[in-house]
Amino acid sequence: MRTSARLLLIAVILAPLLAGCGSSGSAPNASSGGGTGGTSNVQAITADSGPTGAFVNMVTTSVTICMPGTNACQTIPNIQVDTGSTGLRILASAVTLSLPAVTASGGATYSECADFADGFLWGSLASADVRMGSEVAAAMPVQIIQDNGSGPAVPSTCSSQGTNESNANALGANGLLGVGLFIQDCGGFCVTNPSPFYYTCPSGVCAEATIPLAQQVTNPVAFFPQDNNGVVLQFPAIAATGAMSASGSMIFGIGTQSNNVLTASAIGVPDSGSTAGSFTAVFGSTTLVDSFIDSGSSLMYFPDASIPACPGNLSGFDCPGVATALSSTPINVTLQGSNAVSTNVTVNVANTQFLFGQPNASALNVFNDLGGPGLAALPNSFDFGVPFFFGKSVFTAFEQRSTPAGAGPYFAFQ
Amino acid sequence: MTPSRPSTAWIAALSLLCSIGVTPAWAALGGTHATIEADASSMRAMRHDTAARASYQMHELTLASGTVVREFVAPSGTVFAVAWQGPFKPDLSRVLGSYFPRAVAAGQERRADHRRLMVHAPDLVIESGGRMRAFAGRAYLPALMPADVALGEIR
Repeated sequence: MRTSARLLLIAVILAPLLAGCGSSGSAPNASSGGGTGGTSNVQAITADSGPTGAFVNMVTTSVTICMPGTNACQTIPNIQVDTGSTGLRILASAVTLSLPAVTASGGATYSECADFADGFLWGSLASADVRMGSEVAAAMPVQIIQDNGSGPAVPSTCSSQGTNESNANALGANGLLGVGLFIQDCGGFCVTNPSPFYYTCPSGVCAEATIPLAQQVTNPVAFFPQDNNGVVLQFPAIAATGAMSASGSMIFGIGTQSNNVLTASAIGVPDSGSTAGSFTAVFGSTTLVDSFIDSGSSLMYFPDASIPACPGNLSGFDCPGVATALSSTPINVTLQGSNAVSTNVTVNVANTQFLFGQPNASALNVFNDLGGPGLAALPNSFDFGVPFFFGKSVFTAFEQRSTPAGAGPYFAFQ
Repeated sequence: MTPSRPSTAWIAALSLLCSIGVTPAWAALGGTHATIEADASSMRAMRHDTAARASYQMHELTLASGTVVREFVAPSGTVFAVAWQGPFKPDLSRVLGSYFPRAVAAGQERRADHRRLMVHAPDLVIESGGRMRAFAGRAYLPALMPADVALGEIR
């Protein structure tokens, strides 16, 4: 079956049904507020279909950006919260401030081609103060996603990365807030190597360039004055049959205030090498060394020959059991960190045909039991996507930062 | 093979692998690789003849970024599959060659998230996945797959 046809069906199923749901549940309680520091380290987050209504299990928040060092600010809603990437990226069409460009030593502006599995985001780098909760990250390099026709042309070494997703429909949100394990999106490689990812664009013509760490697109949470060693995403439990939306909290810091205390074990991951950012997941006789927890994945993706993919146009989803019932199938997984910590968890995968075909499916945008087949090209990966987050506090500890449970990077959940 | 200027990262990678004066040969999916023997010696790329069967050769390049690209070449010289894994995707227009527009078209469809790109057509399979700093993917031409090659070998 052609992917286009499959995805079209998903769109047919979901898009009309979800239209108008994008703003549902948009008044989440900011929960417990700040802890002992008197600083609010809590930011409301929502899981729903996103502003386009076309996605499922999309986690978003509002981010306030300001002219550096000033109170000239704007708040941009519907920014996807992604623990699987790094840095703040905002559609140019959503930005009304005239943010200063991030420039190289010679004065040329930087642009970036940010790489994703299904395409790329192209845009220039600007500097903004980033405010969430009552915290401020000063003068952060931010990618301004070029969706309004202005700015340098996409270079061929960027367009060769796949589909240009630099628009609201493809992105499914007004931007992306990457709060993953790594401080910069590229890191040391781009400091010493010109690459297809960063460019300088003198006179509007872009060429591959090196870029210092300080100018790379950066996880703003890591540069808050406090509560800067990680993030916690908290969502309430939802019904196995799904929900319209879920309201949760993104809490900044790990073990820095009374509301972000980690009581579970830290699941360590390497900060470099072929399994950077990954732990080992074991279930049954399957050992998956490239596993991770990711709020940017709408499903839990993992290889399990005993769970069939859905037929026909939903073949990207799991369909255990029968389509006439939830067919919830428990998967008992052991997560083994590089620090020799071992933690067990049970996740459930339900029949997606049933979930998407329920009488009230039009009102359902979030699910705690959506699974998808593993990729043959990613044979060793258990991707604990958004379904895993419901009913938990999920911790993402940043590289090079200390926490009471040890230095990042690590994942944890409780 | 795209005529556009190779990216600097590719030049860096290939210059490590190729002796001076030898044009770096690269065969995209569906292309022919008639010069693989010469390439394998001139490029210090790991060439792998499978022990189990002689129905293809696997030609591996490690890019400067650390990403590994593999091309699977049938005895006819045709590249019937490619695969990649590493911190960055490779230049997909080079790797996929004339099939690259199919990947772009698939990426323009709506999807569940940004962690997957799939083309499952009778003549072409493309599977791209992963997250920032950890990508993997493969593409193959079912009609050109040697009969005794298991799909699991294409990675």
